[in-house]
Amino acid sequence: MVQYTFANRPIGNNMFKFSKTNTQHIQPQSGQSMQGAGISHNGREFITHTTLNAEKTAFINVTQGQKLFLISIILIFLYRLTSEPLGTIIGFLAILSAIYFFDVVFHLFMIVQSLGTESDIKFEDDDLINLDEEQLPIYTILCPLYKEEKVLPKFLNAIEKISWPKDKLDVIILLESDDKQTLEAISKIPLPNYIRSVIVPKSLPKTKPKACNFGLSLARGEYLVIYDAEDEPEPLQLKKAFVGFKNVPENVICLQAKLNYYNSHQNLLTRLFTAEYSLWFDVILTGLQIMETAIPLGGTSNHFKTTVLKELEGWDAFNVTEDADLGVRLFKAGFKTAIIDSTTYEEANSQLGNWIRQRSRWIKGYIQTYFVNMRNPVAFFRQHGIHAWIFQLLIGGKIAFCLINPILWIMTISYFVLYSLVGPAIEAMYPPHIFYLALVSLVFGNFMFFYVYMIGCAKRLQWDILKYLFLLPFYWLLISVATTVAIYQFITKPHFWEKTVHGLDIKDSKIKKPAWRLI
Amino acid sequence: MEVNLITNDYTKTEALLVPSGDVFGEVITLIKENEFKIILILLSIVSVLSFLLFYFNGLGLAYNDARSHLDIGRRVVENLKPGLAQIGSVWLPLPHFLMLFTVWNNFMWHSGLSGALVSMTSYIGSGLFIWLILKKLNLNLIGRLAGVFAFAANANILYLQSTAMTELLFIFTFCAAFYELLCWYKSDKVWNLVKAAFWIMLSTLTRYDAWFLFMVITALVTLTSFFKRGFKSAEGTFLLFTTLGGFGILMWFTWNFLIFGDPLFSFFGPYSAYAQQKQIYDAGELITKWNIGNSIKIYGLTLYYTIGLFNLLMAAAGMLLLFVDRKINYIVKLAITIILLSPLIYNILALFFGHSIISIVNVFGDNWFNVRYGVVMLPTVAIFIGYFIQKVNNPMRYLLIPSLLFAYFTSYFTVIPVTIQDALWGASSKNVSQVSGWLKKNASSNQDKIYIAAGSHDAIIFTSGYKMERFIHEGTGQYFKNAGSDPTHWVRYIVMRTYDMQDATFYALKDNPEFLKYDLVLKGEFADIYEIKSEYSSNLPTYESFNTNDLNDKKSKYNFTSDKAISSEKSSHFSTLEITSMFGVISTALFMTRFKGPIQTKKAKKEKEFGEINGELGLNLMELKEIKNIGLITK
Repeated sequence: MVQYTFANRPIGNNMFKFSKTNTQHIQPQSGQSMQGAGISHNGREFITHTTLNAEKTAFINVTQGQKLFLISIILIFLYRLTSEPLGTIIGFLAILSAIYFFDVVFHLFMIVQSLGTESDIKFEDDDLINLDEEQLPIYTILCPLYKEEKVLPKFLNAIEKISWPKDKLDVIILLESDDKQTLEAISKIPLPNYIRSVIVPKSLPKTKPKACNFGLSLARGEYLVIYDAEDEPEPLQLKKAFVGFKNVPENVICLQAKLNYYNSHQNLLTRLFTAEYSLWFDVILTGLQIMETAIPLGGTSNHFKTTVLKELEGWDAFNVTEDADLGVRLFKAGFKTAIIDSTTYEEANSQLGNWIRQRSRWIKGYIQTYFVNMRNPVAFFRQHGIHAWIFQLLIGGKIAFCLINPILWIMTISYFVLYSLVGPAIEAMYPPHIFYLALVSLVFGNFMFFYVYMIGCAKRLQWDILKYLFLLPFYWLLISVATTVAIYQFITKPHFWEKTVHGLDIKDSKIKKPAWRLI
Repeated sequence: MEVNLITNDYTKTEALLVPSGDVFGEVITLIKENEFKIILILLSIVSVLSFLLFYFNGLGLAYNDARSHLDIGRRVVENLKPGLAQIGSVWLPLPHFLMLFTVWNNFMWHSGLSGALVSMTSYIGSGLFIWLILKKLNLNLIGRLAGVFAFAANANILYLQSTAMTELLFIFTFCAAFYELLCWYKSDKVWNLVKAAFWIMLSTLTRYDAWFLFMVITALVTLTSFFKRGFKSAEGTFLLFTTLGGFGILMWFTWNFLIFGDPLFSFFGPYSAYAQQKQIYDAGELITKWNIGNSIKIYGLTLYYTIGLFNLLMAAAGMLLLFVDRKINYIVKLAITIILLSPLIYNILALFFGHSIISIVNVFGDNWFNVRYGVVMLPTVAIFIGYFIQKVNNPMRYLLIPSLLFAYFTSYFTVIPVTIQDALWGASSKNVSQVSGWLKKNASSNQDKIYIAAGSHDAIIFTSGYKMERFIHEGTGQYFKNAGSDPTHWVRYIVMRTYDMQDATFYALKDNPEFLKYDLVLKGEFADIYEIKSEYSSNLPTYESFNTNDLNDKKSKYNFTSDKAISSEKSSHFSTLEITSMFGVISTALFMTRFKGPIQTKKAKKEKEFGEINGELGLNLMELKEIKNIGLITK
């Protein structure tokens, strides 16, 4: 297994012993950039190339206060469970059913908003054709690579196709010093002068966001975008983002392009994964945009105003979904994200083990993001009101439901299969009002979440995927497995970066590539 | 991809309509600018006034079916055994669900307003959707207003919107689905198709007419997609539409399976239309079955009586003009026509296959029956009338509009709307006031329970004015069983059609010697009333003891041996996760249905013959089994 190896047990375990007194911020090498900045903890240095305060990062995953709160809740629950078991279970199920119900209502509202309004920023061809290339600014593209020599030629080819004056492109390929294969591969390719390959200085943590922070310190562009190695962005995407930035309010500092997969037909997993991406980027994110709430950014193709990104101090190098964290952080700072009608095609993970690793990292990152942003819940709710509640459902709820769903499924199946053993007990746990609430979530909620996948695919004209969506419950089960792995890792090795292997599609010659719409 | 299938001549016709610079022109402009609001307000006023008119004339609840619908809704919230399981079996559940918001209130229930509100809202919504449809078809102001008027001013629709019947809700969901489909044909947007599927789903939970409509529209959208983009798109479109559009049907099959043990119970159960029609057919009186001529004639006459000849002729002309209109894409024309005519086709086919029956007085049968089915074609007629008025030239238009107004005006004063005639004097009308009046006068003590089969006598229950908890009926499960085996310890009064095996109460008591402890106190036209002999009345529970002594006490007293019965009775609602298995069991249920068709039919016949206890009531499957187990239902 290929891994980004920053995370190590000592750090993970040390987080529980963390105190402010033995942590210091390392100042950047110069006042002009954040290069060389980081954190020193117990004598160990973590060069993150950002001046981001440690308290705003996932360096500490769970604070003492959060731990105390969680332990108190668990203890109270256990105490009540021993003193009044049925009442406690009924109460717990009542709260759970209510949360599920609100989640269904919230998602229904968001989906209707999203589908009823064309919220993503759309472009006429004329807007893009008539751009005066002389007036275009420098655009930085960051591409962190690690052991991805296989997809390197494809990536260079995709960058070559990007419609932007090449003399105004600032492409920075970020490499790791121990990545011999990629370093060797890139040395054999004559790079055009608009592409720089940069080796990120060796330091802990060795993560993608740290590399991005390093790249940010070198960026020359007025705008900046991140692409992963296997990305195939739409050639017009930079121009669309440029026009987009000109047409949105000043506080919109990030434009997220939609992501989708070019190898959806590789196998069942890639089909379902593609459906999930179509749902997330074409329905959910646009819905969040309409609600003007925090948008957890997708891993790549997020375009920034470089100066503001620097003001925000870049990415959290300790968060394994630094993109989602940045989306929330920029929102909290008073900025907004908008979605643009442009797609970057990526490689869908086609192997189950690889998929579980990738998904567990994402979920672990969401857990980190949740705890980082809930360090001061009172202030969060006071300052952001309804958006703080949405954050609970979108980030906190998402994780919790993935964990709880299998338990409820087991209960349901047990009820029928083992009725004589558990039937009356389960019936007793659901008084009528709770039962009806749970029923709505179970029947209509599940149907809604299933059906909205269909809508996502239909919006993308991925008609042939629809029939496979009837297998979604199994996919949801896999997500729950990944969540379990994520929770385990969050406790045992919180900063461990499960590296996703790319290039698994290359053997499959049948995979169709997107036909780009040209001007 | 934007696919403009309908050409836009809207601007041109609007411009012709509005003379500039005069007062008339300004008024027209003002109307156009506030057209939606004006129509909304007018429809609301007409709706409320109509309701008041019929309510104060005592016609609001003329249909016995309206009272039954209200009772079904009420039983969910107020009953000896309330809960969602009471939502019904043969009649589809959406109208009753919508009543739940208000039917808990006694006034709303007994005035019928709870159900009428659903119809009234549907009436307003239908009018607005017809207006939107006509606008989408690029009709000018006069065409739009004529269409809405043709629908909204019809006397039969005005009456039905004032009652707790289901036709208006069906019409509303049909109009909404049609509008969204039209948008989809025009814009090709997925969201429009999804919304159309949603409305169709609601429609399928309102009336069975919509099930046919669902099939027709599914075929149309699939074929349209196939011709536009090929097989994969057609396959995807089919799945997208049917998954949501058919969700209600799937749920209904599942519901029937879970509650009654048969996914097709609502079709072949003893109170189903099939069972009723079969009885009539066996008696040689179902003259439309397998006779397409009679089926067309009878539905044609239904349309004639409910919509009027003049309207029908104008609509036919409008349809012809639509067909020859070269500005509209032929796919759209074909789709519009097929969808709009599908209620007509459905009703004729339903008559032909014997699933429906309509009687026209002095033509087919001695009385009116179900003649209200004609109104489902009213939106179609209204849309085509609007189109016709738009397309004819000016002199003709100015002749037609007054004629239309005159036809409607005279219809109000020359003849009683046929839907009212049907309700008051039709075959389905029953004078229940004799029995309910006696109960009202003599059974006013709240502690006395009345044993009655709601499936047969819902109108009596409603008209008595008593709360639902006074009645022990089939939907009360264990109570009904207990009262059937030992009535003197449970009920003071028994209401039933004596010697009628279809009456669940009589069936339960027919071999019970305890029944001899009751005296016949009223021999009614449609039902009889029995009262407990005074010497046995001391057995009866008091109000307090009935409500405080748990059913389990009585159960043990009378030696009910089934533990399962106790546990199922304890949880007064439908057992927790039975419904939650819907997704899991549905495939099995449908699979079984495929292979159990002939058996189910046989079973239905058997059930009808021996009068199984069920009907428009929610009986828990487990309870149904219990009843069978203890021998109340035997061959």
